[in-house]
Amino acid sequence: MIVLETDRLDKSYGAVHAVNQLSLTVESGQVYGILGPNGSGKTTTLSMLMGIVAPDGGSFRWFGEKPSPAANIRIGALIETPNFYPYLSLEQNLKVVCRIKGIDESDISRVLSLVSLRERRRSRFATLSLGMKQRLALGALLLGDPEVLVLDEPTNGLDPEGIAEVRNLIRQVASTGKTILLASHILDEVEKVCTHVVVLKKGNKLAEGKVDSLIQGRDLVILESEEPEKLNSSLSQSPLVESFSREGLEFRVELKPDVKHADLNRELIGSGIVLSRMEVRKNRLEDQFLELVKQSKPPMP
Amino acid sequence: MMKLLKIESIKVLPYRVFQILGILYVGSFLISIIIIPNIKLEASMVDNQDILNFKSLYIFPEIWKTWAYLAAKSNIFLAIILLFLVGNEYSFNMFRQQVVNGLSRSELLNGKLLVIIGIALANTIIIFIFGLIFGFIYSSGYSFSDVFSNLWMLGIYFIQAVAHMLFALMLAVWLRNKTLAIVVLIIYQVILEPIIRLVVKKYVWTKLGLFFPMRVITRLTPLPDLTLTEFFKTNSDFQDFTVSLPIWANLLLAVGYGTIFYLISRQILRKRNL
Repeated sequence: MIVLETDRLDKSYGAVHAVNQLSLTVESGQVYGILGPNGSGKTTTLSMLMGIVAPDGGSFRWFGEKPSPAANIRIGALIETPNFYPYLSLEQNLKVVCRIKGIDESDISRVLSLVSLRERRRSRFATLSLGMKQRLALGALLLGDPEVLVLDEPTNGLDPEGIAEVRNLIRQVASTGKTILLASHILDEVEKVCTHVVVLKKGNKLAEGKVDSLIQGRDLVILESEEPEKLNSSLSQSPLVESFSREGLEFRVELKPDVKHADLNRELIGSGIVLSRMEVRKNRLEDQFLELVKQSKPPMP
Repeated sequence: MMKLLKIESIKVLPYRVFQILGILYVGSFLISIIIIPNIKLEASMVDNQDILNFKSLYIFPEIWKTWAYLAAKSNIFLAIILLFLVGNEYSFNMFRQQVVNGLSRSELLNGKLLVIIGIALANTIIIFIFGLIFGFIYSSGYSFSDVFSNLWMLGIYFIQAVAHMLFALMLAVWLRNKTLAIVVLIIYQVILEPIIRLVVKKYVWTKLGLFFPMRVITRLTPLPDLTLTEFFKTNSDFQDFTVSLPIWANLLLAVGYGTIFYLISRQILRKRNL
C-alpha cells in the first residue's frame, strides 16, 4: 500500500530553489530516509508534507488522499526543533497533543515511560535539557500509536548515548511494521535505520533506492532489446540476477553480489539475445554522498 | 468546538502572564469602583455641588451604565492579554506545531475566537455579580425593573471587549511578534488614530472622526447620564468627550469592524507559511 506519493513537488524561497520537482513514493512498512547535507531541502520537503509550507508547484497525497488535517492526525511528526509551551508541564503539553489528535489521555504515561521522562512529568518544559526536549518530542509523536512517523533530524543535539537510544527506538517502532520517513544529514544514521533512501542536493534528487543495495554498491544495469519477451524470460531464469523490473522496453536489473555486468552480457549473448542498450548506473550511496558533502563544503580562504 | 475550548483552556489558564494581567484588570476595576463613591470633588466652576456626588452612579438602574463604562475604560489590558496569547503561539512555534499535529488553520483562529469570547464573557459576569452587590448596597427603594432595566449595557460592554480583542488578534497574526504588536497597538490606539481623527475632523469632515475603529470601539458604552454629563455637554471644552454617534450606529460599526478584523486575520493565517 502506498502511504505517501509526491508528484513534482516544488518550492523556492526567493532565488533559492529549495525543492526541485521532487517525486517520491513511500510504501507501507518502509523506513524511508531523506539524506542530504544541510540546505538540501529536507526540512522544506517535510514542512510541505505536513501542511505548514505551501508548495509552489506539484502535489502530494497521504494515504491516497488529498492533504488534510485528518491525514496529519494519523501521522506523528517532528519537524526541526521540539516545539512545546515552555510554561506548561510535560503532562499538560502532551494533553494538548492528545486533544488535537483525539487520543485518550491515559496514553500519556505510556509514552513518557517509553522515552524515560515519566518522573519529570510535572516539570515545566522549559526546565528540560536539550536531549530531554528531543526525547519528549519523540514521545509526543508516538502518542496514539500513529501509522506513520515523520522525523526531521531526530538525533540532533543528542549525546552519543541519546543517539543510540533514539535509533533503537526508531528501529523498535519500525519492527512493528510502521512506516517511517526520516530526514538526516548523517549517512551512518540512514544506513543503520532505513530500508529505502533518497539522496537530495540543493533540492534535486540524486539517487534513490533500497539502502542495502545502494550501500553494498551494487550497480543498476539498464537493458533494452528488440526482443523484450525473450529478454524477460531469460532474466527471470538467470542465476546472475538478484531482481529486475520492467518499464515498457526498459529493464532495470540488479545483479547478485560480485557479479559483473560483463558476466550478464556474456550470458545473454549465449542465449542468443541481442541488446540494443546496456547502461550501468553507479549507485553507491557512500560515493554519492561523499561527493555531495565534498562539494557542499565552503571553499578554503 | 468543545475540543478547541478544552485545548485553549489547557494552554491559557496556567499561563502566568494571563493570570497576572487578568487579576490587574479585575483588581483595578474593583478598586476604582470602591474608591469612586468616596471621592468628594470640590470644583469651584460648578454651582451645584450635588452633581459631583458620585454615589448617584451606583444606584439601580444607573449602575449598569456606569459600570459598563468604567470597565471598558481599561479594555486595552484585555487587548494586551490577547497579544500575549497569540504572540506566544508564534514565538513558541506552536501554530506551526499544532498544524503538524492535525489542527486546521481555521481551527487555530477559532480557538483564539473562543478565548476572546471566554474572556469577555467572564468579565461581563464578574461585572454583573459585583454590580448586583454594590447596587443593593447603594440603592434604596428600587423595584425589580429598576434592577434589571439597564442590563443591556453589559451586552454593549461585551461587544466592546470582543471587538477590541479582535483588533489585537489581527495585529498579532499580522506582526507575529508580541512585543512589536503591543507597541503598535498602544501607538495606534493612543497616539496615531487620535491624531488622524483630529486632522480629518479639521480638514475633511467634522464627523468623520467618529467612524474610526478605535473611536467606535473605545466609546461604545455611553457616558453615564448624569447632571455631570449635562455639564460636560454644555461646556464646549468637553465637546470631543461627549459628542457621539447614536448607540445603535456605534454598535453596528463595532460589529462590522470586529468582523473585518476577524476576516483579515483568517486571510493572513490561511495564506502564510507557518
